Formats: sequence, C-alpha cells, structure tokens
Amino acid sequence: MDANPRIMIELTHCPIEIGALIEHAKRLDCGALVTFTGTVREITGTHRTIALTYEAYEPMAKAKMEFISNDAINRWSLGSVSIVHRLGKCLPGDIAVAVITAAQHRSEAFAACAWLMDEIKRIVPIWKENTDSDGIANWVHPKTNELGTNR
Amino acid sequence: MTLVVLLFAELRKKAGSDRLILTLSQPVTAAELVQVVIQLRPELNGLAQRCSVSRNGEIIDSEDKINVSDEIALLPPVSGG
Repeated sequence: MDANPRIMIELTHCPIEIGALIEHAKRLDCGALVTFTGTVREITGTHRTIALTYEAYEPMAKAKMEFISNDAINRWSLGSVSIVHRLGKCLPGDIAVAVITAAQHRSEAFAACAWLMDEIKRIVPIWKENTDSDGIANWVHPKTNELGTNR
Repeated sequence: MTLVVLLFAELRKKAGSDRLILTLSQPVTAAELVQVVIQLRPELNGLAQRCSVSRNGEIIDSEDKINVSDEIALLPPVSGG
C-alpha cells in the first residue's frame, strides 16, 4: 500500500455530506471503499427519540480518533481513513457519524471499518443525550467504562 | 494548589458547570481526586465513581499523581456513535 495513507478527522456541528466525504476518501491505488454511517434512530421498541445531542472532549476525541486511525492503517494496510462525528443536536435520520476506509481489497476495508466504529464507541470521549417524545432528556452512559483499556 | 477539573455530559449537568475548581493542600492521585470531588459535590457520587480520569488527554491509573499544571478531566462512560 501507498507509503502515505491519508487520515481525515472531523468533529462538526454541520450536517455530514457523505457524498463529498466518499469522493475525498477515494484513491487510485484502492479498489475498496467501505462507508459506515450511523444515523439517529427514532424508534427503539416502544420508545421514540426526537433528538440526540452530542458533546465531546474535543482535543482528546480528535487525538483518539487519529490514534485509532493510525492503528487501523497499520493493521489492515489502508490507503485512507475518514472519521466525521456530529456535535450538537441531531434529529431522527440525521447522520451522526461516518467512517470510511479505503484499501486495495474489500476484506481489509470491511474489517477496518467495523473495528474503527467499535473503537469510536469504546474509547473516544463523545457522549450523547437522548431526548424522548415527552421532552425528557437523559445522557447515555453505559454501565461499563472501557476508556482506559486497550484491544 | 488550585486544580481545574473539566466535566462532561451527565456529570456537567449534575454539577451545573463544565468545570470544578478545587483547592488542594497537597498533590493527589487520580483516585484521591475522585474522592475530593465527591466530598465537595455529593450529588456527583455514583457517576463520578464510574468515571475515568484523564491527564493532558490521556487516561491515567488510579494511583497516578496529578500536578497543578495538568489538564484534568473526569470522563463518564462514553456513548458516541
């Protein structure tokens, strides 16, 4: 793979333009481009979400996303990694996070994309507050804290 | 010494502020810092004990020392994505 893999990391309050991101992630030496988009789910069982509001410890979140991107590049010989995460209020259907991996072949791109998304949810300091249809807002904090752990 | 502790998400909401300013008579470890925070703001008990402590953007162990010049944050379990 190319000696100069590209990394693009962004935290943004603006809507994520996925088409532009994909174009940016393309490389002529990569035949596989895998895109994951996480969108705001409105219906979860009997619960209805009207908004998710994201907050980050921005300098650390960017540093962690860059760290895991470099890790993924080394593990799967990627040509590029792009990670964009929304901040602020997102409505149902909005893209909250996008991860794009480029590799020579699809198996590496798929594996790296899945791994990166797992790592984002596990160790990047970003939090969401769920507002339900009654207007009640609750921050989401999983029972386990894996922030200081490695994989 | 005076130490600023950054707060996020539910912890920030409970504290009513995005930071706490602590006055400490001596340097503390990460574990001691959490106890000082709980003593000062009992409403943070529970979630504060499930937080990780970061020092200058890196998670530290419970016995690691904190210096006054460090940027310290209490990080609740994350929920990005």
